Amino acid sequence: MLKPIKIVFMLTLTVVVLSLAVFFVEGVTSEIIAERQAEEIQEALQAIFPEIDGVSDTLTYVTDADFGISGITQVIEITNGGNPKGYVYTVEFTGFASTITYLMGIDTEGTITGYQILSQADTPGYGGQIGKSSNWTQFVGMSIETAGNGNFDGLSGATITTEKWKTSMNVVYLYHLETYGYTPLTPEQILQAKKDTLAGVAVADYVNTNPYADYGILAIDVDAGNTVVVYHVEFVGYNVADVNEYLIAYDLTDNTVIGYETLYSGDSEDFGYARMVDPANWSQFDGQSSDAMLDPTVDGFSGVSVTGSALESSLANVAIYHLWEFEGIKALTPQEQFEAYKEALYPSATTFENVTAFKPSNLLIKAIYDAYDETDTYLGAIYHIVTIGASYSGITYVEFLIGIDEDGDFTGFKMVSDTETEGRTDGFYTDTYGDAIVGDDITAGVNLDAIAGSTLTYNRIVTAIQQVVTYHNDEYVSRPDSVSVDNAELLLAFPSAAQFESVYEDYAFDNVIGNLYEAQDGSGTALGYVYFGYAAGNSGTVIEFTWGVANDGTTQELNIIVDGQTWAGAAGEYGFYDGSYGTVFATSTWLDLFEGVAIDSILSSPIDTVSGVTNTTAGMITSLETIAQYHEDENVGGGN
Amino acid sequence: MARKQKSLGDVFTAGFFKQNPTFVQFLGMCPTLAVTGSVDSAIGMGAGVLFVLLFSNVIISLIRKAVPREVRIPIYIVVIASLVTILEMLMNAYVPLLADKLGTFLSLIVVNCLILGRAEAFASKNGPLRSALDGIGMSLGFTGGIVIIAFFRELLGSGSITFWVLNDGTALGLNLIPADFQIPLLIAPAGAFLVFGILVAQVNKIKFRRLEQSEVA
Repeated sequence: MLKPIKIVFMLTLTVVVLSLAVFFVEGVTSEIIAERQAEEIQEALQAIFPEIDGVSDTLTYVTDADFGISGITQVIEITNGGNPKGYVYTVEFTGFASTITYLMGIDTEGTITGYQILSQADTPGYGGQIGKSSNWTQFVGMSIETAGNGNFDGLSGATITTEKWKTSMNVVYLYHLETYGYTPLTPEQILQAKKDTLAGVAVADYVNTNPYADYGILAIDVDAGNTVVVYHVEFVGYNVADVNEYLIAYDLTDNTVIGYETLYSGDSEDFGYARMVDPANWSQFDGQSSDAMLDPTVDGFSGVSVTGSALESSLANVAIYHLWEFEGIKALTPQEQFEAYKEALYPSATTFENVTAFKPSNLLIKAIYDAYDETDTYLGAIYHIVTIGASYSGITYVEFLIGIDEDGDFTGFKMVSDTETEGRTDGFYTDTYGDAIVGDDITAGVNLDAIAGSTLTYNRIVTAIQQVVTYHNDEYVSRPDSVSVDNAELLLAFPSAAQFESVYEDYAFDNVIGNLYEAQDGSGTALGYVYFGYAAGNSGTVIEFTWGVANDGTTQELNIIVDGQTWAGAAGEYGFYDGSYGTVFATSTWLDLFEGVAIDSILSSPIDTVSGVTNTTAGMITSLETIAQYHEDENVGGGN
Repeated sequence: MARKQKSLGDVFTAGFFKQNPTFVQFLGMCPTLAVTGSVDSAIGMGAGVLFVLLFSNVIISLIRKAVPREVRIPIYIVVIASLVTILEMLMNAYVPLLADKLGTFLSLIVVNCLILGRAEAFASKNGPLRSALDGIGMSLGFTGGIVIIAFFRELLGSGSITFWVLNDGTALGLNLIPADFQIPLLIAPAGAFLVFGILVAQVNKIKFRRLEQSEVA
C-alpha cells in the first residue's frame, strides 16, 4: 500500500520545490517590477501634466466623489501651496469592442496639457487606432471646451468608438466645468505665452534705445538674462485692408533666428492666409544670422508672391533694426536707402515732391520727384524707372533712378534693385557707377559704362533712359505757362503804374501765383509788383485776384477779379445789415486790411477770418500769406 | 529498447518541418492566431515558448521515472504553470513592453497544448538531453511558424515589419507600405485565419509533393 503515499509525496514535493523556485524568482523581480510601475505612473503623470513638480506640488487622489455616469475613475488634484494647478483625470468608457481607459490633464485655464490612452483592446486597424499616440497629440493645447464639444479628429473607419469617445470627452468636460470650472487666458496672456514658448524662456517688455515703429515692429520682449529677443511684427500683404502679424525670436548671443510664428493673417483664406499660418513655413528661418535675414528668401509662398515679398521685406526690416539695436550696425531700410539715393542725385535739395500724379503717365516711369532746395527753388526732376531685365527664362525687373536738372543735364544714376541673376549686376550698385553721366546734357546720349557679364541688362537700362529723356523733353513740363492778365485788372491793383511786364519766369513757381508783373512808370522804371493770385473760396470755388506791392514793400490795392463768394453770411463788423458796408465780397472793407500795409506785417500780425464766412476769408488769408512769404523768400525786386 | 530510437539530429530537426507544431501538428493555435499581428510579438511569444518548453521538457524528463502514472498530468501542469509564472515575472521586470503586448497570451502559455503535448508525448519517455533537443527544436519550429504568419499579416495589414521594440518604445523595423495600400482586415482576428489557411495549404502542397516523389522512387 505504498502507492498512494508515493503519489501524495510526489505531488507535494513537486509543488513545494516549484513554489520555492517561484518564490525565489519573485524575490528577485518584484522590486524591479514595482519600481518600474511607479516610474511608469510618474512618467505618465509627467506626460499628462508637464508642469507637475514632484517636490513642491501636492497630489490629492479623488476616487470616491460622485462621478455619476461620467466614467471617471479617478481625479488627481494638483495643488501648489493650496493654489490649484491642474487636474489629471482617469476615465473609462466602452468603445466598440473593449473598455478604453485614458488619462487627461487639464490646467486651470481649461487647456488640455496631455492625453494618453492607458489601455484598450479594440479591433486593430479600426477602434484600435485610438491606441496610437498620433491620435492624442491633437489634444495638447486644445481647450477642454473644444474637445468636450467633440471638435477633434475621430478615428477613420471606427464611427462607433469615435462617437463613444466624443461622448466620454463631453461628460468629462461637463463634470470638470461643474466641479472645478476654469478661467480661459486673456488674449494678452496667450500672446505672452506664445512669446515665452518661442523664446524658450520667459520674456518681458524691452526698453529700447532706438525707435522701432518705422520698422513695422509692434513690441519687443527680452528675457531677464538678455539672451533672447522676441519681436512682434506687423506687415501688410496682398490684402491692403488688413494686416499680418508674426513673432520672430533672435538669440542675442550669436544673433541667429531661433523661431518664427505667425500670429494672425488678414490675407485671403486660400492664398496668403494659408501660407502664413502653415507651420511648415515657419521653421525655414531658424539658424539664419541677422546678416542673412537682411536679404531673406521666403519659401513656400508660390502663387502668393505679393504677400511673400511683403513678408521678406518685413523680415529684412526686423533684421535691420536688430543690427542697429543689438549689434550697433546701422543699415538702411530699403525706404531709407531710396531716400539716400534721391539725396545723392541732388545733394543740395531739401524737399522732394512726388509729382507723378500731375505728369502724363509712362510705362517705364514708376514715379517722378521734383527736387527743391531750402529756398524752395526748383532744382530738377528724379525719375524712378522700372524696366524689364535680361533673363531669358522669365521676366526680371530692374529699378533705378536718374536725375535730370533744370538745365537738362543728368545729375546721376542710382540702381535701386533688380531681380537679375545673382551677382551679375553688382557693378551697377557701386557708388561711383553713375558719376560718368553727371553733368552730361541729356540729349548727348547716355554715357554709362557697360558692366562685363551684364551687357543685356546694361542695354535695357540705356534704352530705358533714352526713352525717359524723350519723355522729359516732350511731356515733362517744368512749370505751367504764366497766365496773362488784362492790364485793366493790373492797374486796379497798382493804380500809379503806367505799364506792366511779366517777370514770373525769373522767379520760382508757386501754385497760388498765376503770374507776376513788374509795375513800371512811363519810362519803364520799376515802381513795384503785381501778383495775379488764386485763393480757395467757399465750396470749391476759386477766387482770382491781383495785388500790388510797391518797391518799399507797401501793399497797394487788392483787386478781386473772379469772386463767386456769398458775403451775406458775414457777421459783425463786416456784415451788411448795418447798411454801411458792402454786401458783396469784392467790395467788402475786410479786403482793405490788406491794402497800404507793409507786406511782411501780414505774416507778423496775421489778419483774422470773419465769422460766418470763414471758408472764404481763410482761403484768402492763406493765399495772401503765401504770396507775402514768396515775396520775401524770392527776394522779388531785390528785397526791401 | 525494442523500438529503434531516432538519432539526436532527427529529434532536433523534427519540429522544423516534418512535425512542425504550427503547420503540421496544429498545436498552440491560440497564440498562433492571437499574437501574430506583428513580427516582434511573434518573436517574443516564440522566445517565451522556447523558455517554458525547454525547461518543462528537461524537468519532466528528469522526474519521469519518479512520477506515478496516475498523477503525471497534474504534475506536468504544476511544472508548466510554475515556469510560466517565473517567465511572466522575468518578462515584466526586464522586457515590460513585450510583456504588455503579449498580455494574457503570456499566461496562456500554460495551456498551450504544444507544451503539454511534448511533455506527454516525448519528455516522459526520453532522457533529458533528447528532451532538451526536442524542446528547442519544437520551439524553433513553432517560432518560425508564427513569425511567417506574422510577417504576412503585419506587412500586408500594417505595411511594416517590426523586429523588436526597445524598452523606451523605439521600434526596430521597416515601414514599407503606405497607409492607403494596407489591408487592415489582415491584422484583425479573421485575417489570422485567412493567412494561416493559405500558409497551411502551401505547406500541405509541399508535403504531398514529397510523398508522391517518395512513392515514385
